[in-house]
Amino acid sequence: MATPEHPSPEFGRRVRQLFLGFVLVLLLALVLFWRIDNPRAEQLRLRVVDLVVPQMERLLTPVGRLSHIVEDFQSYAQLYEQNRELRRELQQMKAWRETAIQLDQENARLQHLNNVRLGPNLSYVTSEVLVDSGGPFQQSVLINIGSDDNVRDGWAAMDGLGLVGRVSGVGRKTARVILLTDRNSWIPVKVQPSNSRVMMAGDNSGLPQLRFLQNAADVEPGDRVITSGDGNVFPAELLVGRVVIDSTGQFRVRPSADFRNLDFLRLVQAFPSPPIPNQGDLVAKAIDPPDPAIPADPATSADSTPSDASGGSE
Amino acid sequence: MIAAYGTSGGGIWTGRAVFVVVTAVLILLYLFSFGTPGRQPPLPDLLYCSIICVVVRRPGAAPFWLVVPVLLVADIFHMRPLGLWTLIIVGISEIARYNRAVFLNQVFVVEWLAAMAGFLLALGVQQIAMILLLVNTPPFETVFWTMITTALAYPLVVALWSGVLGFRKPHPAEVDFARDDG
Repeated sequence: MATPEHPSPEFGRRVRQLFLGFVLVLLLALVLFWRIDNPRAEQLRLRVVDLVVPQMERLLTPVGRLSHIVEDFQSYAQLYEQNRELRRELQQMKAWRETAIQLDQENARLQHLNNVRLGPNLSYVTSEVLVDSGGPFQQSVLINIGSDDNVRDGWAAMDGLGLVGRVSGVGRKTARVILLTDRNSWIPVKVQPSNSRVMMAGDNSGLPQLRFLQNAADVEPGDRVITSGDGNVFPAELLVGRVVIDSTGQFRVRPSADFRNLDFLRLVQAFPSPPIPNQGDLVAKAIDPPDPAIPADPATSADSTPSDASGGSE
Repeated sequence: MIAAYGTSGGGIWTGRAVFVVVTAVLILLYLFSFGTPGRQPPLPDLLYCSIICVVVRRPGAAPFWLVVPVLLVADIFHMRPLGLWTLIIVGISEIARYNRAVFLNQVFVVEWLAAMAGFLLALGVQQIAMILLLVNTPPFETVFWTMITTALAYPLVVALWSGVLGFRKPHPAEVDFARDDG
């Protein structure tokens, strides 16, 4: 056949086929690795994204702005109408703002009177959305803060108003937020005013479904949907959206968050209170020491109160 | 000389560079926010169209050792199962590469239909693979509409590559199939 000194086309083709087969086997191995050790593979992916995306930010910003300009241009046509509407809305909002301030003051006063302590374990970090890596498979966005800013997996992400999704995958300077609408997103929610507890499952359409509803009569279109805090996934009482019915009669949620303009996300830091493993434990601990040391009792109950209070305010 | 891109002449590296740059831009393009999630119809798979188009026209400009990293990067950034789509599309593009002589003498419609048949095959294989791997498969509607939009986009992508970037079909006489494998 071919000697190394005079490689014939035939020889080159053989080498190429061998190389191709080798690469295909490697790819197959990569797929299997991704499937078998998914967390590690995703971590690897995030590390790559973490390296590249912050560098891309400079490039992304002007292009993103350009696309905004195009969008804005479409609305110039209705500028006058929009302006009038905004003014009207602004008037209403001013009234609301006044009301809100008054209520806030009143609330603070009443809380002070009642000596209420709010759960200290809820606070916010705000982040900027870098890129939207959604597709037919995943509806997710990348944000510009990560483990350097103490972001952890599982935190809730909101825009100004409603829930947007959940942090899933944290790199050093970036983190990935899976949107509510993603197929892998299952969130325990509560429908008000009936307080029925339901699961909200994304299906890659804009309106996530309500699943496992016990009594359909309890829910009506227009009802408010908030997170229930069940299963310690999320803090409770975050606004999600409103109930709608689709053409097949399936209950769905129209998210309050504006998914068209996800520019900034507010991550709700949640440090879940340590679970109480067994129902009797709190009491049992107090009883366990058999000596008649009664003063020990208030101490233990005082210890447990803060976690109780935070559990309630989650 | 622009017309010499990707033939076995001196312009082959220029052709490769153009291929890498354009596919990188396409990958970036998908990272921008395109409105509401779950929008219908979904975006076409321009990367697939480009790869097939170049492989058929100037196979030298898109050797598989360039196609693999390009697809892998797309997999990484588009949050797809790592390597699966790469594996499938590299397979399909190799089939297209070995049979490209067929398309050279035919009208464009034949190539278009063949490319779409390849895409359908790729989607089918992907669905089966994902079911076997016990991964959530994308909903049928999305896959269906991706198919439709990709089919519509193919002629436009070909127009871009052959019209603007100069990756025209070589004249049958100037093709050396033995050297052109990339």
